[in-house]
Amino acid sequence: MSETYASIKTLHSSLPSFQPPISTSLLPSIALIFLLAFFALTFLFTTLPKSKVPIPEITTALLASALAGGGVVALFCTVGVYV
Amino acid sequence: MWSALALTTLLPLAIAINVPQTYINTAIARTIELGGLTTQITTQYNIKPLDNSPGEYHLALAGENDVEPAWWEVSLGGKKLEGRLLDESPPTVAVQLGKTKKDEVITLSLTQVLAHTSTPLPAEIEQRDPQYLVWNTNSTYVDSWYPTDVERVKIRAPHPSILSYSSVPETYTRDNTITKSGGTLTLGPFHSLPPTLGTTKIAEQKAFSVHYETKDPVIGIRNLQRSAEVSHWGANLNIQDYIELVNEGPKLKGHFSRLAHQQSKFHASVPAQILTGFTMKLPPTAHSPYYYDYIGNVSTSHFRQGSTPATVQKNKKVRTSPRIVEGNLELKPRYPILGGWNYSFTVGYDIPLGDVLKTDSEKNRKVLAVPFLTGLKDVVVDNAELKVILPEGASDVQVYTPFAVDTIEHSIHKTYLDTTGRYAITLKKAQLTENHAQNVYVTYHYPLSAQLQKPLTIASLVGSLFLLGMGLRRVNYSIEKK
Repeated sequence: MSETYASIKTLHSSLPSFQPPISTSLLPSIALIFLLAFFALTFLFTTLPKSKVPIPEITTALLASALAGGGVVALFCTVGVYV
Repeated sequence: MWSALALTTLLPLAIAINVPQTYINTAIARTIELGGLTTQITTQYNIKPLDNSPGEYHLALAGENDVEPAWWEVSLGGKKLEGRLLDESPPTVAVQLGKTKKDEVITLSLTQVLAHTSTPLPAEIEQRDPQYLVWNTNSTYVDSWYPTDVERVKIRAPHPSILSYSSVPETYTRDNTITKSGGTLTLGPFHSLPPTLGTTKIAEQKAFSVHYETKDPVIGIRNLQRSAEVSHWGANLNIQDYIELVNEGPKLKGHFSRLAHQQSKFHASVPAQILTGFTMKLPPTAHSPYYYDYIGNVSTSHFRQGSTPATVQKNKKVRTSPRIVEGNLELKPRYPILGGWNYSFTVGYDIPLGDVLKTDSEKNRKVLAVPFLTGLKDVVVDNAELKVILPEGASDVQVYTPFAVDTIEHSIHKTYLDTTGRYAITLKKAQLTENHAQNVYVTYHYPLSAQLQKPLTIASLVGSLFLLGMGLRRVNYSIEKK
């Protein structure tokens, strides 16, 4: 232990508070929008034609996955399971 | 920082250590507040050094064959002093008194909380009987390594009804030995008392006991398991306590009459030994509490959220106090708890993370403060465990405890949406009182890659499903050759 308990205690009271990267009041809206967009893009993905170099498919898949990732984490936080 | 200061001495393990007689106590005044499971003792020592460099003052915390008090604190002139606990049989603290002058009196104050020193007598009572406890001690006089000129011990029972008390030897008294006034017993004053501890004997310590009535239920917690889970995305700290409550008062003799209990509640005269409910004080910004036991949710509770000056500003319509008001959680167990009965339950609540977590941009780390337990008045926790669960990807973890704990373990805890698991620190300690309700500080390093770990995990999982879909599209399922 490099510091003593007393020094950490004074340090803790003087430091700035933690700010979440995305404000918690926005999380329910983000969950809804992201997941709806994910659903829409997945549907779009299923309608894409098969091609030699599947650029539209890959881009849709990447975008949909990113939206799913953010949306699920926001959804979990909205319902009270703070992940 | 008791853990760093509890050094073992270089002296050999002897029954009595050799304490240089460089001090004398000119006066000692001790006040003992009797309660249920805890006893609060405040002692004031007026110390006179006998020469110009007297060294450390050896302050005895208890007598021979006694255990260290559950909690103790030494202060000099109002300021807390760090003492060195010696690894010897009568628990002793070596205190540095600072600059002392020969024959100049210094006042030292010692506050102790003893646990489990009172036992119920009679040990079994009927539902409506009053409850009596016997407080026992091995030392009538204040244990000291130095001689004392004048000493006075005051014992305060919670109520004026004291059934009986033992006698005090008349060796060192002049006029009175014990005087009783209401609920207060005054032992002494004792004059010219030799040291009670040491090799050059010494005043003989006689046991002393007080048989008194107490009008509050005697409550102990056998086992307390607290988990504190940190979430950065949700900006939330969840605190959850699993508590095994037991009524350590006189056991119930005969059967429990629900009718008699309901009648007593109606007439507002619930017997002293029955615990019907208790209140927990929560941090001011705590919200969303939950309370359940192994049967299910317990609805007999009431929660009032606290406020801080910052939150008061938002509601200008309601005029609330501008100071910090703690949250108030009143819990009623599923059934009234009589002597000898147990009740286990889980209680938990959420705190906004900004109130407990601070960002140290200098050293690129986060500093978290977690209260070790929620103190309840006059309650002793026999075994407590605190598990701090840091978010996934936390590294370089340091723990700072306010008092010495028995064990600190580092482990991995897996819960929702976890891949690598969360860093968990488990601290264990025995015999805690409400004075131990202090913060444990944890510092950890949490890079951006750790923050993004969860969304990326889910995104890669979903992305692999998309790739699987792309592959399956291109597979030919027809039976005939197309």
